[in-house]
Amino acid sequence: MADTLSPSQITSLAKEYTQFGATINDFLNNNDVADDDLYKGLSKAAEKCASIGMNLSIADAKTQFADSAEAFRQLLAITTDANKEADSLKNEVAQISRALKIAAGMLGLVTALGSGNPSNVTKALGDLHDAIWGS
Amino acid sequence: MIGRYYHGPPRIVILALFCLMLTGCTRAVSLQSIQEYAKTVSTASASFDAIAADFENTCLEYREFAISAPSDLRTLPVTQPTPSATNPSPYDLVAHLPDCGQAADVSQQWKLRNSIITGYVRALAAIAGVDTKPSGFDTLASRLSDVGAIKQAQAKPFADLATSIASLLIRGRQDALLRKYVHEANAPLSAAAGSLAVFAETDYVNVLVNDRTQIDRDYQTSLRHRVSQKPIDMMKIRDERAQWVLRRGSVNQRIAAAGAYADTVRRIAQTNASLVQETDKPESAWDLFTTAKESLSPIIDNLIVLNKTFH
Repeated sequence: MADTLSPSQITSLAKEYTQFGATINDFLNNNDVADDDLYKGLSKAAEKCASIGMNLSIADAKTQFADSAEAFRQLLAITTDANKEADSLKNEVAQISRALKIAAGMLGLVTALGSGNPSNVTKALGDLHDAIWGS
Repeated sequence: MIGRYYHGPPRIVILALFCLMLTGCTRAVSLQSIQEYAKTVSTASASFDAIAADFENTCLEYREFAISAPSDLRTLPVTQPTPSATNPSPYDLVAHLPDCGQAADVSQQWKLRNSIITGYVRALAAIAGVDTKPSGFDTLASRLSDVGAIKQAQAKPFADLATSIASLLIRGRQDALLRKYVHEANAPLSAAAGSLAVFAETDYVNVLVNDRTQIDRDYQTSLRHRVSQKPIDMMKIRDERAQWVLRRGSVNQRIAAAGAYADTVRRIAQTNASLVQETDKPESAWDLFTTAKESLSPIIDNLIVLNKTFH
């Protein structure tokens, strides 16, 4: 039975295979290898390293994401809480503004009643209604 | 009685009001700079999504090139020596193609993690963006003046003072919330951003480098094959070279973008750490404007690189 690689071994091997493949590739890109068999052997060695490096890098990515999951969970919880508090703060300001509007509406009604003009009273009642129930 | 003895706010209140408005103005700029910072980070979302999707796309591109390699060149070794226990069996590239379904999972997870980080900065901006000034004191003051509770000339100072005091109280809560969340988020944000930066610089870059190796091998092998044929098809060679230059250039750009991305997420965490230090000072000394502004320029530079690469 094959031994399982540890996460740090996967990280290290993914890097090593990738770099080894890239080194052979650079060599082939920069040198004219006349011998066909040597060229094919080196080319396929580079491809093999890239293939192993590819598979190990994907496996390593999954491990790295699993390892950092807790930090993201905490950050998400803080963000959710912060968004609720931002809404709550916004609501507080809105409630104060609404209370002020109601108070102003009541004073407006007092003034309108004092004027003795029915249309002023009707308008003041409408304003108060809007302040309480929202227009 | 009020009209007789009350000729506007007492001097001490006027002085307090002036100080309040002065700090209020400074803080308004500061909070605005946090919003500006969040806005910049928010614009990163599209580029962040694109770079996350590229993990899977690169895997698919790699598969395409590995499969397109001529079948007689797929196995190793090319010249088989006498089989023995020390000679490994040929490595079949097609049989070992990466599972791009796994790469798709990584892309999804990466996208989700990016959205958690940008979402946090947006939440911070949502708190900083709350307008702490309640509206309605001016109307109330006007009505109080109508019923004779205050003089008409006193209505505006009354409304301004009342608005400022109410705003101060609400702003106190806003400050406390900002302080609370930048502190609470600092450790997880640092760990989360750090892990994403390392992932981009290692696994994502590895995947791109391996893709580039396969692109190069595919092109070079094809070129070698074409040059060996008579007559040499120069048009075909030219076309393939042009394609190769494009594909290679694209991978190199994405490798550079990975670095820009890693730098950006690290800077987001560093900015939060700076805000923690800033909010540990007495509130009057908070300089969130400078703190957030210093982070903006390099982040914007990185975003330009990411945008150019993925859009």
